[in-house]
Amino acid sequence: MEDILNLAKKQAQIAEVYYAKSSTTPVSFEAGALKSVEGKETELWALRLVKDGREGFAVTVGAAGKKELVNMALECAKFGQEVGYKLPSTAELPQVQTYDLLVEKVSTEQMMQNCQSLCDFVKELNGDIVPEAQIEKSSSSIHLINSEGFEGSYQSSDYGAYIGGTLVRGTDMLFLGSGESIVTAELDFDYMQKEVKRQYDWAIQSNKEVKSGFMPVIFTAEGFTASFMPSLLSSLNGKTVFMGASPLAKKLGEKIFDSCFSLTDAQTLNLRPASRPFDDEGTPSRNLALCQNGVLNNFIYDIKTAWQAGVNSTSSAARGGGNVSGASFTNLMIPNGKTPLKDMIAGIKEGLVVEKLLGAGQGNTLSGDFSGNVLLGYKIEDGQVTGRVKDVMISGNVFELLKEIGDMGSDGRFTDSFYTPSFMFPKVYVASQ
Amino acid sequence: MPNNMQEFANDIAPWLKKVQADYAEVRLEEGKSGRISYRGKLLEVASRTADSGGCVRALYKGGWGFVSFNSLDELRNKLNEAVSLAHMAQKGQKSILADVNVHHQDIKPNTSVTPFDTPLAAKKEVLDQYNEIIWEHKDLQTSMLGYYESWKKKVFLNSQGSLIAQERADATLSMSAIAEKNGQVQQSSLSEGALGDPSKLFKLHGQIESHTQNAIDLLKAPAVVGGRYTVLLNPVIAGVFVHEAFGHLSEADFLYENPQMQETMKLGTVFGKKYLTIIDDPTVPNLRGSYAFDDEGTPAHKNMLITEGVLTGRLHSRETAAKMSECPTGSARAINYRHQPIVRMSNTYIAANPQGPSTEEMIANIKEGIYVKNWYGGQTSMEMFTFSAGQAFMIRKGRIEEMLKPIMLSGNVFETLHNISAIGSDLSYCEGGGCGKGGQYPLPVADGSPHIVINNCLVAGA
Repeated sequence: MEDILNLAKKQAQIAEVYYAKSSTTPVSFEAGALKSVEGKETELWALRLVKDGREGFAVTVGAAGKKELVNMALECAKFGQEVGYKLPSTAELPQVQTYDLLVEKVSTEQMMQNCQSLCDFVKELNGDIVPEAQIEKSSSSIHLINSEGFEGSYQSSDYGAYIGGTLVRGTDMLFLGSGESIVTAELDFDYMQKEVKRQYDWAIQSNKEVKSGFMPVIFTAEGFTASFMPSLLSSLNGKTVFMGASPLAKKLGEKIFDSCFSLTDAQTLNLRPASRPFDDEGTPSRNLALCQNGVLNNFIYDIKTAWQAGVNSTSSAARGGGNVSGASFTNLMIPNGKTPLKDMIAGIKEGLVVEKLLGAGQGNTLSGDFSGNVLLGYKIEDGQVTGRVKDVMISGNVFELLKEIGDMGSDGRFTDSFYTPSFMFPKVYVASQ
Repeated sequence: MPNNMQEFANDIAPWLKKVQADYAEVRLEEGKSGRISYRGKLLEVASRTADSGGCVRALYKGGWGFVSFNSLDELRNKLNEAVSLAHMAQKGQKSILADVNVHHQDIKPNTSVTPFDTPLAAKKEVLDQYNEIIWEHKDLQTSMLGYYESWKKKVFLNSQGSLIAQERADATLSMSAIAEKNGQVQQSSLSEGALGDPSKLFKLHGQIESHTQNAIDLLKAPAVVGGRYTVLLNPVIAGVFVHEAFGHLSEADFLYENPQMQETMKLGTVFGKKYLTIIDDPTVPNLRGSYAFDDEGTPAHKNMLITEGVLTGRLHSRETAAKMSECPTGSARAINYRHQPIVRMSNTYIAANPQGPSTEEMIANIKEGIYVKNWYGGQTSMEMFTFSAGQAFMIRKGRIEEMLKPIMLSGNVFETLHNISAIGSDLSYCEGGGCGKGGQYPLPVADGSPHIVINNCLVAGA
């Protein structure tokens, strides 16, 4: 890496070299039986340089040499963006646990056994369900150096599982699924099984009709993530804010949401796959309050966007395909409410529970509007879940709904890197036949 | 020591034939790409990438082992590794493969012109022109503009003796204009692609202009009242519809292990009216979803999915074809050497209906409905689909009236295909699409259709 940096420094004033290496072992079960075992290795070098004030990027994977990497970046720097930022120099980095040696030690046989028992569990719910399961372990190492003297590296591990099932009756299809991904070797298979069983039990009772109109809707953690996160992610991103495209752009310090709502980007949370001691351009990680008790506190920035906007990086730089592609979130956390999910349901005379939504992030997310087809959702009648709803669309505006939250669950859980409880909103528009 | 991909392939070929497995294949790739993107008036990233690597897949007593890697130096070890993983996997499913002939081919690109003939800086000049057009508009909040070009050479070889080299280059251009007024944000997007010669991507000045104006006009547009409507789809969004709503359902990897699903998708089942024919065809010349061989070495050919309303075919890999006692269709594609091939679409389209009504006649026949153009994206769960449209207009009493804010169309595939009440003759393709499945995104595809009318379609604001 030093060779690349030195080579780049001969021609450019600023240079940064990023190296990532990872190996992944996925085990897949289809239709209840072992399908394939894989071993994947990948290694990449990324170079950013600034020559005569202009920025260029290049990435090599595989056979290409160091010279080619530098030359490709120089070609881009001929017409690249004019920039005036500084990259970070040495700094004290926080201690973050991102690696557990035990993950690498999990045997492929163990992963196969666990997959088998997940599939068997689904099969026991109903013999007609076609079960699938995947378990994957991976480990990676990251190394970053730059011309300002920064040098940092860390190792991380990731252990994840997914359990799913498909039940087809004529043209009526039910998709069940639950998954988890952590840094240690201790996956909570019990929880995943319970979730799938709950989905099955709720859906299998009957298919229920719904009349179009406004009604109370509960979003489970997964449903909330699918419906609300696309708009929150884009509107809290410093780049969207700087370009003036975020509806929250001028609202820092203002109360924008219900007081019960807080949101933190927890970059240093121990033992979560999205955590790290420094971001992808070497800024030390921190925990960043984005919204506290409904008041908007922060947007996220990488170094270049921060320089453009005249603020500081929030240690949020993320790479896509090797290049620093802007700012991104790590672990987004919404603290729990107090109400158990079943009590929330018990308080509703007629409404819906939304668990999986199709097409939620594909509309005009910038505006906060979302809508989607309820892929997996249930009818609530007189305080009880009485069956599945289908051919139903829900729609609303994220920013409007979060101003008046009906209730929040005590059941917070990670969906990918989002930690949220269930949410209840008293009036959401539901369109049906 | 071999020093290029072809030599590595020649080196490993004899070992591949002696492998301790029922079947094995090696895929080697080298590629390069370039990207330029703008946010608003500013150039955001200019970058180049060189990527090379390979993978080995082995089948032993019905179990699959797969390894992927960047260094080709220890190819023989990698072959052994894949075989030992396959030995581990033999305890599960009994995968089998349909027969495919042995092929020796060296496929050259469709044209001698590639995006790499001119430097990235030359494309930047065209993008600067586009950005000037965008920023002549005053009410604009921001914009995004992106150009991406890639070249790739792939070598496929298997234990049966096939050796197939394929080379391709393609390019895509995307833009979004984002307008804002009083806290309301609206956007309009364009996405186009080209296989080989990218020059059509540098002549989009008119479309860039109209999309920018569209984003601004959307600010004044009313939102749709949700409900069921007769919708007229232009070829762009009808193409997305056929890809999302039906194309994914015809991918046999969702069927071959699911007896109930096979019953639902039994060949001969009536899916629509006489004039509905749906085709997936990787051999249409010069489209982004076109190719000569898939990533299992099966030759590509035209697949009739629905013929005159009746289900007549589906898309297969060698494995799904064998399990369902049908023929492989050349539809096993991998986005790159890091992944196993899975069943995918290529160029998917609704065939033109020569007797069909003109677009004017379609509009004239609609009492109340929506004319839908352009798209944001789509998603499917087999039975249900959603797709969203960036441009929509009310139709009343046979006339196009006010513009609406973006809408989302959703429905049940099976019902909706029956509800197609008219298909025109003006087939055209959109090549800007990238399809995602099983973590493999964006796979180059093209979608196509004439104008079509769907009755009783569920519509909501997007």
